[in-house]
Amino acid sequence: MRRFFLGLGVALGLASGQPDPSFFASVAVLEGTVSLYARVDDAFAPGALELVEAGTRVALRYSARIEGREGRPIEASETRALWYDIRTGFYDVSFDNGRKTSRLVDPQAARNLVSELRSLELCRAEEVAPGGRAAIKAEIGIIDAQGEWHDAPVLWNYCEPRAMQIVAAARGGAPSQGSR
Amino acid sequence: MKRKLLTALVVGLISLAAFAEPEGTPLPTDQKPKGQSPEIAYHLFSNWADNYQVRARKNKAIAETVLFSTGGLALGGAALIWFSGDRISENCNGSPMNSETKRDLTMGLGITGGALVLSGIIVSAVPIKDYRAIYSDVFEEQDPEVREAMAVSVLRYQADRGKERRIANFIWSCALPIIAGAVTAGANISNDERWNKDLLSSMANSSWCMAGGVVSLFTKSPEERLYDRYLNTRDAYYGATR
Repeated sequence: MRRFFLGLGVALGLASGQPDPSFFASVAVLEGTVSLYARVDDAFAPGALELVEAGTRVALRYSARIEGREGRPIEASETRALWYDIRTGFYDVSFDNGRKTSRLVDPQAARNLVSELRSLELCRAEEVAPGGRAAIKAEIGIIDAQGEWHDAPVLWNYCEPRAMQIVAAARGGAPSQGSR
Repeated sequence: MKRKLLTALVVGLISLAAFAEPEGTPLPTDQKPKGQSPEIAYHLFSNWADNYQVRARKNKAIAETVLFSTGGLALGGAALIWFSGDRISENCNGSPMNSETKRDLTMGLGITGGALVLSGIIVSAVPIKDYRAIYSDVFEEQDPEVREAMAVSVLRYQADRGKERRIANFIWSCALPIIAGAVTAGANISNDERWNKDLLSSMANSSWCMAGGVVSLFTKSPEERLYDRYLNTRDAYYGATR
């Protein structure tokens, strides 16, 4: 019986067609600073949303690693978490690595804030090695009551969105391609 | 001499053009990058909210003018026929107006005029949606990152409503000939006539509405176009391919 229900659960999970998230990331040089833009479309599948509604902190972590001069890598990351506060009826979003928190009424706006990182300053342009490569990735996880991160790749069907780019330090403005 | 004059003229024109060259429209202070990405959605949303107010006020004024003036004219015509119809008819034909024609014309014009004036009163009583007040939380938000996320959400919501409106419009336009047919069939039955008498013609008469519905189904609403514009601008700025 247990096997039957397990099989049924797996079959329903497959049939429900949870969409894989699509990831886009790009690195640009703005006013001499290398900054990262990253976005995960469909980051919150129904499973993740249920957790959010139950008050669980579902978080996205964007991390970038750039080849710096003298072979020293430059690393930066940002974690953004979303949860629903049942007592107040607000969606809370913590961003800027937990330094800022925003309370939002609109769940869509809260999801937008978590799933789109518009600008994360990585380093000064001159710190990047000529033709340095940037490896960018996004992860989904759950943050517990102690503030500890726990990987939850099941919420993204175990897909690991990554992007690789050449940081053209001389270029300014809009960056080049990024992909999953 | 001529050459000197011509040279002076050309130099003068070039220098004038150089001085007159505009310095490029500066971005509003809250749009300047300062190492951060521009607020594309907020900028579009803010403009949309302001333009909506201007457009709605203008359209309301036009609608009020048209409804009150045509309604007033129709009511005036009804009063004229009722009180002076006989005299006018005597002046023209030498005989007083047919009482039935007088009554029908007065009623027709009176009801039409009354309906138009009432519509005008309703239009003027309905307040214009103030999106700056409705979405005051977006405009009052201080953090540009949060404000942009909120603006994206509003743009998407409005685009969804626009899509729903045009689908509903299409469904109604398709339903109108069916309603017209049903009314005709009902009237035929109550008059003890063949139920399908003039059925097709009444349906055909109202079927032109369907054309409008089909056109609206395939024409994106301004809100949908605005959201598309946001997505395209964002992708162009960040170099994305969708």
